[in-house]
Amino acid sequence: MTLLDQYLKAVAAQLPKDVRDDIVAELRDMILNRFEAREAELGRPLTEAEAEAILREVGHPLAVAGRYHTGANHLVGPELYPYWLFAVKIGLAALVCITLLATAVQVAVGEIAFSQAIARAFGNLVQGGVTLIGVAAIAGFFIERQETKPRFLREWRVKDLHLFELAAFDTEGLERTIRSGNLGGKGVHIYSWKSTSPAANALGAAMGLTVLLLWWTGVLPIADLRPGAGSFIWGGVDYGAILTQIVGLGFWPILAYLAARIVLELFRAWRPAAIRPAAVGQLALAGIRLAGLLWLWTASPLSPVIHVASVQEGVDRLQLLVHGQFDLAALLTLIVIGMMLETVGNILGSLWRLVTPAKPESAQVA
Amino acid sequence: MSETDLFESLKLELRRGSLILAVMARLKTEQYGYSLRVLLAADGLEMEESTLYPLLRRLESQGLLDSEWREEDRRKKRFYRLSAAGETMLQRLAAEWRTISASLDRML
Repeated sequence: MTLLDQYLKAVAAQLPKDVRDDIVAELRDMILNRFEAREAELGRPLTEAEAEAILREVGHPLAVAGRYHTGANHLVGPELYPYWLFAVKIGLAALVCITLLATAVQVAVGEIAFSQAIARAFGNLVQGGVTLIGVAAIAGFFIERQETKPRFLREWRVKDLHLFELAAFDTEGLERTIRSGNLGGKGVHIYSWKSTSPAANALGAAMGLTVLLLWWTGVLPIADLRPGAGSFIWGGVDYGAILTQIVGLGFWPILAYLAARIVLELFRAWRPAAIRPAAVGQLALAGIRLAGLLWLWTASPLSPVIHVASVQEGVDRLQLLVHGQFDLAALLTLIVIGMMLETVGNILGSLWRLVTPAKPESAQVA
Repeated sequence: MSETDLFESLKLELRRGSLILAVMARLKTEQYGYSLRVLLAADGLEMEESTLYPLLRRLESQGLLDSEWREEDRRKKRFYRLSAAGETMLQRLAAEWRTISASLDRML
């Protein structure tokens, strides 16, 4: 096999099958022309080193074949990159917040020592950060290869742009905010979710839920889902054992629920005007959430701790908390009741949107 | 980046679009890849094969060039020529080029 054959074989291996022979034949002719022109200059046949030098000028087989590639030639292209970077920044910020919170709770309940918590949090942040960037790169790879970019990337609105200030985590930005007196002072402008578009809300929710899903599946090692019996006992109740049992029983349903929520939020971002289909999805998921909460209340391993038989018992627990007597069981009771009420509100809201779908915000003139 | 590197980088950007015009203009008469490259070089427009050959394939896939394999000098060669759609496109691009060139001449 000649040097040229060897070179072309390496190029051919990188080319799509349907155009391979055609491109290789053309490259062969081009390179032979180069060889002949050089031989004419020298007045003698080329040595192997001279032929190899010409092949090097033509380019490495990977690079040469790559130039014939018709699709995207990058993992995340320049058009998508700023969005990708923004999503990564938001994801990393959420990771830092959740990790710090989980670490603080672990230290507060005495599960681990402070120095150990710092080391573990640092390790989790590095491992979680790398995983998050990897997952974002895979997502970017697929979005980059779609024929049409998602609608939220093309049809942005000035109204939503403050959302993007969230990723400006630079000290200069913080300094500017402090100097302008807009940090907790008079005239502070708080952007509420209400002021952003449904697409921006849905995207934010999808990002948060993705971090949660990655933690639930163990991809992001933020805090142990199954701490085990005896790991956290409060007021004579083994919460470590309860949490481990709940995760054991509810792992797959909760995983499926989170995945469905992410799909729904992405659908809402993709089609902000499709209010009715989104309401149907929200209604279904709120129903599932309510069923899960009712299970937690009545039949889960946590039920004996949080369940109250009467309204009076609930009021009594609340009074204990109000009077400064901290009781974790009472707090959990209130949290679960609050979540159930919020879910019922969500169901009613979804039903209302199904019956009377309002005009999407994007259709309104600001 | 040194001044020379910067110049080379900007020159490359400046040339990128105009080379398509040059290739299309030269393919009013039939050429194969190597002869086209030699012709462009003789006109003062050196072009790397790595740029030229994928460009020819792209223009052909866009319907602006026609091509056929023929044997010449005992070797099979692929000959390219501007298609009817390519000729129309060349006229439009040439008009655009002249407008840009006139504008720049006034400014420079």
